[in-house]
This record gives sequence, C-alpha cells and structure tokens, in this order.
Amino acid sequence: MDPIVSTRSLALAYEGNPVLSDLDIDAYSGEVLAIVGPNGVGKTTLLRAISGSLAIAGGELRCCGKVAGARARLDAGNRISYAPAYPDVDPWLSALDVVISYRMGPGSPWARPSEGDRRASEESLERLGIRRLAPRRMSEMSSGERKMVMLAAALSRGSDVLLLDEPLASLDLRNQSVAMAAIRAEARRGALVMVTSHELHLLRLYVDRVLVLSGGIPVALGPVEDVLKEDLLERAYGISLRNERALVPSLDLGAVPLK
Amino acid sequence: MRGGLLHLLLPLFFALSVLLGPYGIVNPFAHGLGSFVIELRILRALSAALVGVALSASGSGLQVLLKNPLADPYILGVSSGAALGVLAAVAAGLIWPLEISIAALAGGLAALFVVMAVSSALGLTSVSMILVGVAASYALSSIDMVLMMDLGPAVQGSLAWLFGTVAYVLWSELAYAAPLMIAGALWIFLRAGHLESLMLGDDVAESMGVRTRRLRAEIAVASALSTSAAVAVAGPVGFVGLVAPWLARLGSGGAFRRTYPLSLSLGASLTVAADLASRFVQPGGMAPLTSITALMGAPVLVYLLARLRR
Repeated sequence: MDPIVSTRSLALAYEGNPVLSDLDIDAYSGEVLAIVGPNGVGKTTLLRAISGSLAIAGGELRCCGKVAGARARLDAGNRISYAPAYPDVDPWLSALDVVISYRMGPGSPWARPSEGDRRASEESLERLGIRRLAPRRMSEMSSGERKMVMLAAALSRGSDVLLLDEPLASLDLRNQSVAMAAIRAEARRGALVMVTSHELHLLRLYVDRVLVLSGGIPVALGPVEDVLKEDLLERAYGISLRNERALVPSLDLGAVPLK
Repeated sequence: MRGGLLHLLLPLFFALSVLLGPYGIVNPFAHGLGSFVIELRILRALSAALVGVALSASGSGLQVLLKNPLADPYILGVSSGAALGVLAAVAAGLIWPLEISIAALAGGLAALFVVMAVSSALGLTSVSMILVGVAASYALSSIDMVLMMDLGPAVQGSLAWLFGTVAYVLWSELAYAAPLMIAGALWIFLRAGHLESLMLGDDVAESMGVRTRRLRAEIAVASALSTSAAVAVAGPVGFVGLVAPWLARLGSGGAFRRTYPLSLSLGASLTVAADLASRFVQPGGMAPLTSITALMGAPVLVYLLARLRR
C-alpha cells in the first residue's frame, strides 16, 4: 500500500530558524500515528507543514497525491482537516456555527449551509457527546469544551488525513476516552490520523505507531510498545526515569479500565 | 431566516427621509420648490445609505480580520489621514467642495498605505496592524490639531465635515465616491467565505487554503477604499462601522456569510435614520451625524447585549 503522507529529507524552519531536519516518514491510511517529543521540538510545526499552512524549508513532502518541494506549501485542499492545540476561534460563534463553518470551508460567498451540512455537523457533535453545546457560544465554554468542539469540527468533513494537535490536552477523563474512541473510529473508516501528544501513558490505548522527535531530528518511529522504552525516552526527553520515578507517571498503564 | 425582517428598515427609513424634514411633509410628485426639496432629500438619503454601507462593510471586515470586537473603519488611521488631507487642502487655499473631498480621499488612502507598509515589515499580524494603525491615528490627529489651531477661522468652513454630515453632499461628489464605496463593500463580500474561515483561527484557515497574509492586505485595502470614499463624502461619521456589524451578529448569529449582508443594510438604515433625526435636533440639519448615530446606536447595542445575557 502506498503511504498517504510521506516525507523525504524534509526540513522545516519557523520564521527562518531551523526546527526539524532529516525527516523520512511514511504514514498510511487507517493508522493513528502519534508525534511525541519535548516542548518546542517541532511537533506542531510538522503538523502545520502537512496542513499546508507553512512552507517547507527543504526536502520533499507528499500528501494525498500532492507534492511540495523546498520553499513551497502543500495544497491538499479539503482532504486534510487540522485542529489546533489551542483553538483561536471567534468567541461569539456558537459550537454549531463553528462545525458548520468548518465543514463549508472558504469557498463561495453565496454558499449557505445545506440540510446535509447541518445534519452532519449535529451528528459530529453528537458523536463526541457534546450535542448539548450546539447553541452555546465559544466564549461560554471551558477550554476542554472548546477543544471538543474543534475536534467535532475537524471530524465532520470525513477527510482522508486528520491532523490533531494535542487532541487530548485539557480534556477530562471521560472526554479523553470519547476523543480516543472517535480517533480510532476515524482510522477504522480509513483515515490517517496524526496526533501530537504529551500523554505518553495513553498512547497504547489509541495509537498504532509513534514518531519520537528530539534535538531537531527524528529519533525513533515504530509501534508503540517498541518505541516507548525507558532508555529511548530518557535520551529523548533528557531525564532519568529511574531517579525521578516518583515524579514520572508509570508508562505501564496499558490495562487502565477505560471501557 | 433570523434577522431577515430587519432588512425592511432600510426602505422604511429611506422613504421617511425623503418625505420628512424641517420644511414638513412634501408631496414627492409636486413641481416647483417641492421637487427641489425632494431632490435634495433623495441626495441626502442616498449619501447616508451609501456611507452606512461603506462604513459597516469596512467595520465588519476589520473586526474579523483584526480579531478585535472594537475594530472600526478608522482603526487603521484612515479618518485622521483624511482629516489631514482636508486641512492641508484648506491650508493650500482650496475651497471647492470637490477638491476638499478628493483631498480627504487621498489623505485616507495615504494613511493606510503608511500603516500597511510599516505593519508589513512587522509581519502583518492582527496585533501589528492594530498597534501601527492606532499609533498612526494619534500621530496624524496631533498634526490635525496643530493645523486646526494654525488655520483658525479658515477651518470654520470644514467644521461640519470634520464632525460628519451628509447635509452638504453634492451629486458630483457622490458620483465619484459611490463606485469606490460599493467596490470596497463588494470586494469584502467576495472574500466572505475566506473571512468566515478566518473566524476559526489563522492556522485552521491556512489549512483550508486561505492565505491569511494576503487576505489581511486585501481586506485592509478594500475597507480603506470604502472608508476613505465615505469620509470624503460625509466626513468621519463615527460609531456606524463599529455598531452595525454587532447589531447584525446579535440579529442573525455569528457566521460571516450570514451576518455581512445584514450588517450592510443595518449600517445604511442607521445612517439614514440618524441623518433624518439630525434635521430635527438642530435647525438646518447641522447636528453632527456622529452624535446622532452614537445616541441612537448605543442604547440598541446595550439592549441587545442585555437580552443575550438572559
């Protein structure tokens, strides 16, 4: 099977400063791929490059049959949906407005939401258990609720590639579980879901493969259980798990009863 | 559709504006002096409606673009630039209304050009545009003040304009300004889908193919075009461009494609109504339009906000 996202010697920079280099990744439809690594390592930058909001610095980036070379942006149209870690949405929009506007995208000024748009948007809110938020304005929600609305918006288009920046951050236990189930469902439907995460202990529950970034380069890519090894994480995050055991949550949480 | 009936306010106020005035109710089909009064009133109502459209178009676009609910058409320095143009023209001895009006247009566009050039160098973000715009407004206003003191009694002739009025608009002014006002409003309309996506956040809009830097530049230019033309016709009429977008949002929800047309029609209604009211507040219609738009618009805005909280 051909990868739906692939990079060759990809290099990324943020405002002229090199962030990541030597990225060679292949990601496939139907999998959930997590990107982990220390703060500021370039996880969001990578998602933004794939989403087409950032020109790449060097190498090559392919997605959904489109290619971007050095200093170009990828343009994969609405086959990609992106949800930021910190939604910067107009505070006066209602949750339903957000999902509908997301579904409709830019396009014609004459466009009006069809009955289908409305129904799909409500279903997307329903799927994440937040139908009751539909009429509520973004300013009247907690940060976790806003995150859930953004997730519902990104999942509402049935895109081939979902780029979710820290989808579980600031969600409560129940919403984390709902979000993880929804992400798995998207992968089952055949989408590639790329997430960034700091919740390493949750990765086994919903992720297939993990890409570890550290020091500006990828240091590991593989199935969760192969990658989340103590020595690798010690190197990647620059800590000693043995000495700081009390401060670091056990990674062995695969059996947490969430269902 | 929510808020649809509000569009009817415009023809209503327009008709009232043509029929009512200090000279009483005039039969629109009469000949002689009556038809002259009617023509003047149609010109005033038409100018007010177009100025309202231009200012609310500009305000709607800028509020979304700058992610700031307090953004108004003048936040990028257009009004103080236009005033500087007028005062400079007066200082240079120009007296014809058309000359003064073109000086206003040129001043407004020149101010925007400077603001865009400086904020582009700073990355053209919402914050850089607002800060540079506000700084330019203050800087230009201070020059305006110096010029006003300097010119003394010569300013008197431009005083009504400086406070905002459509009482003295000429057909010749409207003839060149109207296309600019409409072009600016239309340009923003053509980008309504992009602006709606921008409301979801810069990154999300970019991922949908919206080039936010280019959009910022385009909308700033479009709004300056309609604003400068409106200012050239009627002076810096305040509050309409701030309040009309909000009345539209409170009337029909948040998504830009839905609120924009309503915002234009409410802006036009408010300006026409304010001009109508100005004829009765002070004899001769001398009351500055801004005072009336603010006195009429502010309570409506507060009422709608209060109703929303319940």
